[in-house]
Amino acid sequence: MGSRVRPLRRAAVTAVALFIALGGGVRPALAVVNQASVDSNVSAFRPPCVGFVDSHPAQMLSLAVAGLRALGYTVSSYSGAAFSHASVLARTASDSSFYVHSHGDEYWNSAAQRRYNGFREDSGDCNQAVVFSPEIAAARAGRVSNLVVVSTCHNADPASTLPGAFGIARTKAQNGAGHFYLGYVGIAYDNDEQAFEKVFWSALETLSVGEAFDLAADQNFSHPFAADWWGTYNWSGFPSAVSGCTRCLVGGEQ
Amino acid sequence: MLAGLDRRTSPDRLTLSAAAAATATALTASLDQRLGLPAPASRVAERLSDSSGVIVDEVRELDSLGQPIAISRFDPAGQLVSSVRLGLAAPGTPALTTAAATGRGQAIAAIAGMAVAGTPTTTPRASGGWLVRWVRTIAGVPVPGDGVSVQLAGDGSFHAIVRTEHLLAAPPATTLTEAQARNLAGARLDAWFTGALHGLAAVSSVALAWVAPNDTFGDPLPAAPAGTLRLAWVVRVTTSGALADRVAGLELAFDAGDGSPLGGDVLE
Repeated sequence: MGSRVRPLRRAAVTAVALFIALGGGVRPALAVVNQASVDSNVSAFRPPCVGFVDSHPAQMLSLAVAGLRALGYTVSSYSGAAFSHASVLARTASDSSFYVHSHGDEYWNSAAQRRYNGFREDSGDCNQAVVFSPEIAAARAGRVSNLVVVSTCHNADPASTLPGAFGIARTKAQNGAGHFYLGYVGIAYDNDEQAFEKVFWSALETLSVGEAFDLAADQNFSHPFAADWWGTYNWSGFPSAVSGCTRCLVGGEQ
Repeated sequence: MLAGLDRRTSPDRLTLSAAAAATATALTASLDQRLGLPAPASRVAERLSDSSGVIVDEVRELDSLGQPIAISRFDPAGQLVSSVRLGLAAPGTPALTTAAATGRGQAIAAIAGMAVAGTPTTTPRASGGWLVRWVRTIAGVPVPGDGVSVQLAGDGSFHAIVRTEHLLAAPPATTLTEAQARNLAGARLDAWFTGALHGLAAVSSVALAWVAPNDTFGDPLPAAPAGTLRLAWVVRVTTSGALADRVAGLELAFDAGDGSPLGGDVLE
């Protein structure tokens, strides 16, 4: 984005990057972690799984990668076989930020004999397992994420179990700890999701996460479209130390 | 033609003259006054453009600490494009009724000088408050991504407003029939979903709409200024069985005049 970046935000991004680069013996009581994983399901939306190639998954992955890097995260992106159930769970404990674009829903979990929110892996083929919220919660063992953006259907439904899996309670506060969960309510079309995310990531260069949400939501979408968030409105989006989620249960429920 | 701004792709900080900046800030002050909003500590104006050449004058209203509390945008003719109040709004008590929210949205649109027609759709916002939405129509045909949206906080106070209006290509001299559109969609679905997936995608609705051609399915885009809408048959497709695990639904768009594919959308 042009030249307008709040001087304070630019200094903060530089400071975070510098701190992480120095490493060594200077360790705060709560270490700042800036690993971000960006996952996008491409295989479900191209041959051989379907007969067309959907351009959106790759575009939305690029937007998320750029957006998170601009905030100071060390970003790795995954699609195809590299975005698998196992790889998501292996990385999540170290993820300070997480983005996923895929098929999402409240899926039936046969082991628990109940439904949990989750999203489908890519796995590079057409048989795509669900990554369930309790699996993420167990892997993270209560460790709170900073910024989580779940670009799927249903994972910001009012009773979603996914925010809690990332240690983010389904509450909204003007000020507080540095965490934010963004997702979509009900069904959502790709074009609307991408339009929202395009503005959201760009707005984060100069606005807080809540402000960026409000700006992104101030559009005329092509279909009924609903986004929601939980966390701290005024948080910058930068990687930061966070405390545990006292209202998050192991399964990601509240 | 007005389209959503993207600061990242090609946001040029254009020169905004002192006179134009004063005009933009005066427009914002007038809007605030008409809406009954408190005056900010300061206002900062900038001229922005996006990758398609859309130009707006943006005014950020700041509190005494220099933090933004509102963002308003105007087109070069001084017409309001959008305005949003920033900050977490507490839910209203008592809760607003749908009818009251509709009335409040209509009042705000009028105050903001945004012409609206017909009955809006009023729905609760997932993030709180209400959305009052007027979809633009041309001779009864909807322009789904255009129109006016007013967002209210839970107590009915103003939260945001946005107006979108794209350029329209000339309508075709003759229009394909709905049956022809169904056939085009059927052929496309048969080509895409073969073998075990054949028959798992079904047309659920067919309707005319003004749409923005896109590259969702790799279709070549018509030669036209970016953002120009075309009259199209929009075919909505539902999926079942194994296909539903990958794609929950589709929208296929075909030019209403010559049937050429104009892209569409994917529901995941």
